[in-house]
Amino acid sequence: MMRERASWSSDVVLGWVCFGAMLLALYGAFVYAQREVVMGDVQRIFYVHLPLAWVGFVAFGHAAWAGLRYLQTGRREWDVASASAAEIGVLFATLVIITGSLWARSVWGTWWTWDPQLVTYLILWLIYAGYLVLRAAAGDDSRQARFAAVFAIVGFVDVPLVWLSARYLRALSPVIFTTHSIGLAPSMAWALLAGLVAWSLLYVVLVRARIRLGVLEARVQALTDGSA
Amino acid sequence: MTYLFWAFAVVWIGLFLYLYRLVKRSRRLERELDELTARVRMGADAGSGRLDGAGVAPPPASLRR
Repeated sequence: MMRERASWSSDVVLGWVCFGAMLLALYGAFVYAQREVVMGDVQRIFYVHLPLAWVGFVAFGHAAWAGLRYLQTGRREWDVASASAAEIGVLFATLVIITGSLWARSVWGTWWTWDPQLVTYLILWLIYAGYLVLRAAAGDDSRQARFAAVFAIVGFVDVPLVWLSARYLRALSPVIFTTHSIGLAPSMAWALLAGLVAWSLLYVVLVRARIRLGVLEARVQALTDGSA
Repeated sequence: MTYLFWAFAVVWIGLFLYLYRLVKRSRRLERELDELTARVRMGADAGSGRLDGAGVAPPPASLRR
């Protein structure tokens, strides 16, 4: 009980910190960052697009790692954590695709191109969307949960492919980070950093809430099975 | 400017829809958990022979062996 209360109050503090960071990130994106010369104001989509993509990768990595821990330990908590991270990862990846399309349409005049980066990212989205469908069908069968864990781990293999295709098979998306420099003006780099911190914090808040919900679901399921 | 507006709008609408779904699921589960806990407690009370309206009263002493 004490532990639950402490966890709840730390979540409240984390929520407020995240709220403050998000306000700063919005200020950075719309006020602090200078206007991009070629693309104009629409380039500000970048300050939400890239952090969302980053958090999506983190979420899929988290799902794969939790899946690995589930296979090692067989503990239900890891299965819940893997499913929670994958769910939030798919949400963020969906938003990445939508914001990317809007940006591409306004700057390059197209909603979508079949270049390697976009295709590998779409495959990543499909893998984890498929994972969620599998999870929904899996129920409580531990064998199917193990299969879902394997799916989460194998799916993560696509993440380096997305990164490599963005880095070496250039198409629409600009390369911002190189080994030597960041291709951004200082005000833009700070706005991006604020966005990365804020969206990473939001991921932590969301995944903690989602895991708590998953644990509650497991408790209800155990009681339902026990009373049946 | 329209694309910029829609990009941020879609992100925040998507996020709030997800949060709304989480809150709704959480409330439903808490309700289910309360109902199930009450049902389990009632079953335990009936098993222990306490008369609390839902349970079963213990048999009179004359009938006990």
